[in-house]
Amino acid sequence: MTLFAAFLIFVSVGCFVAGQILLKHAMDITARETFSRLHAGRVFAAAIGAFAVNFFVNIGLLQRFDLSYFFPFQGLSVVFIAFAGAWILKEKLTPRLLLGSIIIALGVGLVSLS
Amino acid sequence: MTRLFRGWFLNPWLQLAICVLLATAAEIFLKRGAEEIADPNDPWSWTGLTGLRSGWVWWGILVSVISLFNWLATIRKLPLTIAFPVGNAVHILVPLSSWFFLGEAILPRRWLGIGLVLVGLLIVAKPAARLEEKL
Repeated sequence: MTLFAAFLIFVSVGCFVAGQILLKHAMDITARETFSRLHAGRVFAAAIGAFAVNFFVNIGLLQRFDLSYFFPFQGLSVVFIAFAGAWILKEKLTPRLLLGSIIIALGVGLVSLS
Repeated sequence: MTRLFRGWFLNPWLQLAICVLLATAAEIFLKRGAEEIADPNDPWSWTGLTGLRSGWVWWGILVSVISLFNWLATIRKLPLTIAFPVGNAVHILVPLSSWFFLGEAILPRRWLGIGLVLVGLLIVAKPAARLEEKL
């Protein structure tokens, strides 16, 4: 795998996580009793944009890699969410989250060598 | 009879199973589409936009959208801390489908890596789902 392909995988997973967080944020906004439609629409559009980037980058990567090779990298999204939670919410990373993240990273490392 | 069918169909566990199957099918369709239009010499191919020329990709998009709505319907009834770990079944189904439907050769090292990713996901699933709910 080239450095450029690794970068695109990073972008793809990052956009997927950003899309999920933004979509949930948009749903939370619309669940309030009073909310600005414009604000909710902007957040929703940003989520769709992030998912679109994820989608097209994935298609570009799938032209070059086996699905069974590329797909395990998407498991990294959970690791991204764990670290995003720690960073944004200032939550402590629990030993369970750290252990799981290390195992996922090892698994992805093994797949990338295959 | 209709009510019984509707009650059975709206069962969240069945919805979750359908969601996992649709997500797997979408990946297979997208891979087929990507293969169909693959042109590594075209620098634009990295953007994936050329994928829109393939009918398989459009099927993949359609199935992905249905799967997304299915997921939203599922997590309205099941807590994310349960739906998320079970949904990880897709990480087993996609490689199995790649081998079965796409004829990809999966060597033992890749299987081991896939297995480790799955074990890791099962370990972090619950705390990660809780974090995602807070985010």
